[in-house]
Amino acid sequence: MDPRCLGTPLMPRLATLGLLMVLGGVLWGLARAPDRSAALAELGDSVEARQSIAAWESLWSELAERGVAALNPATNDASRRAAGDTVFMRYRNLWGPIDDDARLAFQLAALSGDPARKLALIEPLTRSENPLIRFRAHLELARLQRRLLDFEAARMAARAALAVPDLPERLSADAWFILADSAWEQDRLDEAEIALNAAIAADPGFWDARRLRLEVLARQLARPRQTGAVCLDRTRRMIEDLGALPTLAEDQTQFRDLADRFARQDTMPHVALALIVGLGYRWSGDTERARVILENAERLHGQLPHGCERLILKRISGLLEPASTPGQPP
Amino acid sequence: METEEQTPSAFLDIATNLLAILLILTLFALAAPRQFTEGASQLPARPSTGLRFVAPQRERFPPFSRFYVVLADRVTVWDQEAVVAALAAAPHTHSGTTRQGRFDWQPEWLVTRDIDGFQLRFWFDRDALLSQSTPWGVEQTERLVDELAQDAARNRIAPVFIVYPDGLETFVPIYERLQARGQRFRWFTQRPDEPLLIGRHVAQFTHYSLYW
Repeated sequence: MDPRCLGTPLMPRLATLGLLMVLGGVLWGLARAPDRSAALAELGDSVEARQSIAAWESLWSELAERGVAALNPATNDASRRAAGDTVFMRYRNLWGPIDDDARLAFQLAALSGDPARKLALIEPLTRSENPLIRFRAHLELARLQRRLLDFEAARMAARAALAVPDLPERLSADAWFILADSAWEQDRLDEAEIALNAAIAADPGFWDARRLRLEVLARQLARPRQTGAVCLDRTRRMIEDLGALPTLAEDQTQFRDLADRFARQDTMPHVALALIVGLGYRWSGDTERARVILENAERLHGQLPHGCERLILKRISGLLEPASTPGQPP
Repeated sequence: METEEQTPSAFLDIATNLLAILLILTLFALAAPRQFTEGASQLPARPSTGLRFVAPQRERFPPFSRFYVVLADRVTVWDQEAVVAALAAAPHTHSGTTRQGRFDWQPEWLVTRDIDGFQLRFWFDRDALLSQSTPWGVEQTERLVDELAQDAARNRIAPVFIVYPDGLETFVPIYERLQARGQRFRWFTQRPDEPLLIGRHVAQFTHYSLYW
């Protein structure tokens, strides 16, 4: 028998085997990624939707891997005091050389109990040659006007602070926060949300900004006319803020406190808030209350864009699976 | 002078010390990443289904404060602006007096936090307060409550009462009237031998003390 007769069919057989293996690999790969394609089908295949889904899935895989610790705002600055009312109180040594007269004026303004006198002491400092003094003076005017409930004057002063050039980005967080707070007080939620995103981007360790953003986003989510991608982004940011706040305050009881505050509403307005409240209870250790809230979330459907709602409910179903035990992520 | 017998012993000491340093460094190296990623406060929460206590929220932009000193049959507003004027006139003098008492101004020497940080101690002169005010009664309480409502509406100023032990009786009707009117106020007891301490410093943001 000609040995070539045996050798010829061997090659196709090997090639077939190889192709089968490749095919198997492809099929296995497709089977591994149904969530992304299903998610895209839910939100629509746009760039915005892709980005939202990528960020959403990244958040959950981080949570699965590291638990709530994944939401700690990264910082190398041990001097951070997250509750400080100015960036200069939150972080140490942001001032360089200081003019003594300017410093005394700021101190006397802080000491005075008379709002008019405070304003009079600070106002001349807005014309200082030192940009840092000028910035701080505008910021203080904004804070004083906000305390006087003059929101328009507060916004003007905050914008003037943001207009001071050549300052580190972190310093801008307080001015953005005043813009956000004034907008929130006047029910301009879109403006408040944009300003809070800017404040937190400038200083991720800003407790007050994250706390206010939770409130703003909860109300934004309850409003109509938002795309599925925006809805998903807002829910993700709420989870990030919920996870960050107790760490920033160095007070883990805040998980329960925050969950209690949002759960206090007579009727939970949408599934995103149910997820936030459920996670708050879960991370506080109250798994029973978390389970009750999450189990009832399905009844709230129909309030958010369909695709966003489906993705949130999928995660809620995942949280209700019995595999998780207390202490395990997320 | 070093002898031959001492040399091995010295080497042994050096080796032991190096070993100890290595051991400490290893311990720190093992502990540091854990501290960084988890944080000192990241203890796992204990399951709790008991009574709930919702902590008060710190107000983002609190009202302005006006201080009132309460003694037996006397309620006097603290002239805080007199201290501001005295310091503005003599900025390098770290202590001084006003018609109501003496003060001690303590600015931090190094500005490590905000530029407006300070601490001020004020010792009230009891005799001066008594001689400068008239006995307190029901009419004065009503008038004060009205004035405080106007202050709150016009300039968002809220009162802070510094109550001395002998002033508690005098303060009770004021407290009740303010509560009944829903007027915002704070009050603190004050030991007679201690100064009033006010200030702005970073510790105010690390404790639950700044609730208005």
